[in-house]
Amino acid sequence: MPPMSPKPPNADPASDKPTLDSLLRAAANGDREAFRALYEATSAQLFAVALRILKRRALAEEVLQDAYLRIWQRAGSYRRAYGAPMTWMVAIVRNGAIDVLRRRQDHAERRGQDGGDEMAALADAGPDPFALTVQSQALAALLACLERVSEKERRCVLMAYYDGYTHSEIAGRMAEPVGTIKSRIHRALARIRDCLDHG
Amino acid sequence: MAERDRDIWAGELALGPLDGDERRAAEALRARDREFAHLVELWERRLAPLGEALEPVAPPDTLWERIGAVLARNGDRPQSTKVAQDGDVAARLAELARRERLWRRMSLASAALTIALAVLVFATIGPPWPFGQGGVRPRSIGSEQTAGGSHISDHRPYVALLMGKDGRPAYLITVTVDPPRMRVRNLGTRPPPKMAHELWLVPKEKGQPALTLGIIGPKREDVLAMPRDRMPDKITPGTQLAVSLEPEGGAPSGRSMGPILFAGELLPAMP
Repeated sequence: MPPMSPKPPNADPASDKPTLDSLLRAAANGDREAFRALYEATSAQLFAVALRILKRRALAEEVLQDAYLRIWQRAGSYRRAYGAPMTWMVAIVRNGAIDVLRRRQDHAERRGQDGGDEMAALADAGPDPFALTVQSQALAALLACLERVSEKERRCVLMAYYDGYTHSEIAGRMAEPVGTIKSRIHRALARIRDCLDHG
Repeated sequence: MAERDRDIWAGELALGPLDGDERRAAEALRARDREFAHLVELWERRLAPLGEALEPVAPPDTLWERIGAVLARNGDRPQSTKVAQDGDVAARLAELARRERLWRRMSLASAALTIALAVLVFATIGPPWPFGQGGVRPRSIGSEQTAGGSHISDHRPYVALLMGKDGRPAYLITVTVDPPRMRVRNLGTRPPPKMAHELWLVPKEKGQPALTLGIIGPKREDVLAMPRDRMPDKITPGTQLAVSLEPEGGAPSGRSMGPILFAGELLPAMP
């Protein structure tokens, strides 16, 4: 394969800081400095996502390492149409984290091991995104839509998203039948979609 | 499945509450069905702001060092071919064909070259069957031993010349249906350290996932024995073969993750 000439990371003349977009493009061309800059700019946010789901630092570090290697490998296939670079990277990290979680669940019932988690307290605290500073319009729009679903539906969605719980784990935590949880999540997803897509 | 249910299923894959089996099933559908994959992407986009809302937590400094070390070991560049990385080999080949007119020209060139090379190969090394014992390296799973190799096929062999996007031939592959075997001739390529070249059969029917035919060994010439269930009616003129770059040991879970490096069509060797 012929070598590709790396491009300078800063392709956005309007800003003196390279955008994630331009860093990702440069990384796709083999620019390791740009990839390093991308890592510096995004790793804390992505580590938070992995740690939240996995609750164990060592596991979260492994997943994050794997995720960045994927990001490096697949940078060339990232398309703007997919969404912002962060959207794409968050999805890669969450997929990796949930895959690890499910594999572990296949071996051992996670229930019994929860007690030893360094961050077990977090697991049940339930995230409250409404308390967070709204950083982006996209988040504002999503939160507005989440407010339109019932409180129980919202809790199910957030537990699934932030903690990576399965339907039956959520059912256990909410002391309700799995079927109820499933239809609740289906309902919530349909409503969130309609709200985001059509206002 | 109704369109609406499919979309909700896509949403659940993106959100995460599917258990291990359900998730694997949904992932498999995502790998072979571009429309479903697109639905999942839309959901990932809808939900991503939640991830960005979390309070950042700095990973340890050693993490970057670990990542840098792997990069240094695995070669210096991301996928040089710039092929879409997501999805099945078949989907990626289709994407490639769609995006690259060149690919079409290349296939035509490949067809002509294949015949020329096949003539050359048969002239110099004799017909590909029966196999001797040299260079035999059966696949690790479900492989059939090719010992003896006295069975002479009454089917004519197929030949495919696999080329990279730069037009350089990389592998010449001869296939017989009966006995189900492939001879893989390396024309001067080699995977980077810790990586492997994996060979895939891309069924002609749309939407069918690519089937792995095994890891190509480092020898100049390699014989892969194929389980019969991989072969059947799938080997026909025009069937695509592709080689992807995978981690040592092959694509985990039988689904290609790496870029497609080389591809070519199977054509009857001796018309």
